[in-house]
Amino acid sequence: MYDMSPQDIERLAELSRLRIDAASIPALQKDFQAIVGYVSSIQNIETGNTGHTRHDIANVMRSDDEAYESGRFTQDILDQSPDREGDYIRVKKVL
Amino acid sequence: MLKFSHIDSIEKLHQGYLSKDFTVREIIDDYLAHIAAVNPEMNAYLEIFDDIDDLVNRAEQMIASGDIHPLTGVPVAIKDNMLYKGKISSASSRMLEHHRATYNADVVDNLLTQGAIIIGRTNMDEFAMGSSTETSAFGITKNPRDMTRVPGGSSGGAAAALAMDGALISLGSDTGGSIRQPASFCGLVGLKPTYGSLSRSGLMAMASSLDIIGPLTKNVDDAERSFYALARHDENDSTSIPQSMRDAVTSRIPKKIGVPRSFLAQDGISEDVRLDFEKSLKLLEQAGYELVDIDMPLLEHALAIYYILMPAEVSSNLARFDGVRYGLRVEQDTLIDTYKESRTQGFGPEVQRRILLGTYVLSHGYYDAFYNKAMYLRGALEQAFKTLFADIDAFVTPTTPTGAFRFGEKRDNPLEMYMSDIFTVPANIAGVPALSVPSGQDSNGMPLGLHITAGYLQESVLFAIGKDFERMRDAQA
Repeated sequence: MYDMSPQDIERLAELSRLRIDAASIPALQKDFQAIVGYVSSIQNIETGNTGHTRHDIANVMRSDDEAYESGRFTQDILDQSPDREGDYIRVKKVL
Repeated sequence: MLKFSHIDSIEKLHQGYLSKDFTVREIIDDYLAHIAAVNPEMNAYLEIFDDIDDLVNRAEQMIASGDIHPLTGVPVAIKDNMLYKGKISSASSRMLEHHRATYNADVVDNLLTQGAIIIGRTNMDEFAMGSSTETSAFGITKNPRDMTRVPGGSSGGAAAALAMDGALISLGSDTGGSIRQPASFCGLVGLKPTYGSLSRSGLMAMASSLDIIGPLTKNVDDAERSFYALARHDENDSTSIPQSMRDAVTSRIPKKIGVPRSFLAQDGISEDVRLDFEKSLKLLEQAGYELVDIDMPLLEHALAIYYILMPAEVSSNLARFDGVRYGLRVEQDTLIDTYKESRTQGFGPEVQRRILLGTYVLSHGYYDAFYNKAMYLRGALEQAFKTLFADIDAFVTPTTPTGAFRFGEKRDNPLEMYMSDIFTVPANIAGVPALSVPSGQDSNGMPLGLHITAGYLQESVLFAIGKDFERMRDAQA
């Protein structure tokens, strides 16, 4: 059984940068018990010696000589920010 | 009703344009009038774009000058997670309610170059997470076949837009069944192409190793035309299949179709679905296919593998939404609380559930037991598929375990909702193509689908079998 305590849920919420109301924790516990219980079924399957890579595609990065000119997308990107000051994105001070 | 409802394929539409039976303007005006009448009730489209006139003019010029591409003048709906420069693309989330795309998705660029008419953006489950379109932040979408039932999801708006005659083709995205399941629920053809065959550039990421764009259409021929019109290598998608690999594919004429009997024996599959599937098998036999039983125990574990890998990638991909660079920001006293509050208010319950689940399976102490194990099993499934498709051309199952369900029926039971994807996820995990073709009806009169899976880049096999099946089905009706 995969029982998750309210503290476990709060810890996951903290890692996920989400705020979970105390009132919604019991429902989440129930959901997770069902879902994690279900997906745990894979732990008993023998995987043999197969690896977990498949892609035959390699060297997908573009070469440096085709770089676009500096600043070409700057305004488009900054315009998306909810709060900016000049060419900076404004946020609350961290320290 | 659509005046031109008899023009129900790309072929008929192009024939009509070429023989001047009607103009692009007449067709699109007909569609727009019909959408205005039915969409308020259906909520398939979230927005009808305001520059359709320009596209119509351009398509008419292209046709007049003989510059005709596979999708020229074709009315197309796009899902709300595909970027169209300057227009809102919200993934049906509060988080991106006012977000305007800064560039075109490759498929959008391709549609515009070909002179397709992009009508509008369609409703979906929030960030493509759901199987009923009920998780959209912008209201439910109804199933045009029965307004008390869901259209499926996550591309439910795409399916409804097509089923209500609001477009001739719809583009959806499919991570675990999000094109094929709604196509089946609404009586349409739905194609999940080979992973990497259409570009993911400009498609909002859900689970990047599984996501693919594909068409929903009214017949297999349109799916085939749409696929070849939109599949191409794109250097802006690092997992796009190079041209050399596409050229190296040898097409084969399908003869042998597998039936995974033990996979079909599990609980939760409705009697109607079983009966319809057996009828479909008979039609395939009558069409001359050899049916063979196949045994692949890993298929039964595909859904569990999926519900580890998908949330893991979701939790990672959606970490970018922090209220700083774009999307919703809910200002708080500290930066960390701003992150939290923006994400908490921006994301709905299903998205939050999957982020938490993904964080769990990736966290220290659980990573090996869940994520890593699932990745090994994914490798094993890919290997098993390779071996399987060396011997047979395709295998078939029903598309869904039941027909379309009622609103609210599965909303409070996530695991039961997840079971909707049981037949469709294996193709995503292995990266191979799969097609859903309407096969019959359940006892509620709701459509059911036949699900055909083929080998890597073997879309042509799907189209050949799909067309034969359509022909046999229609001959019998």
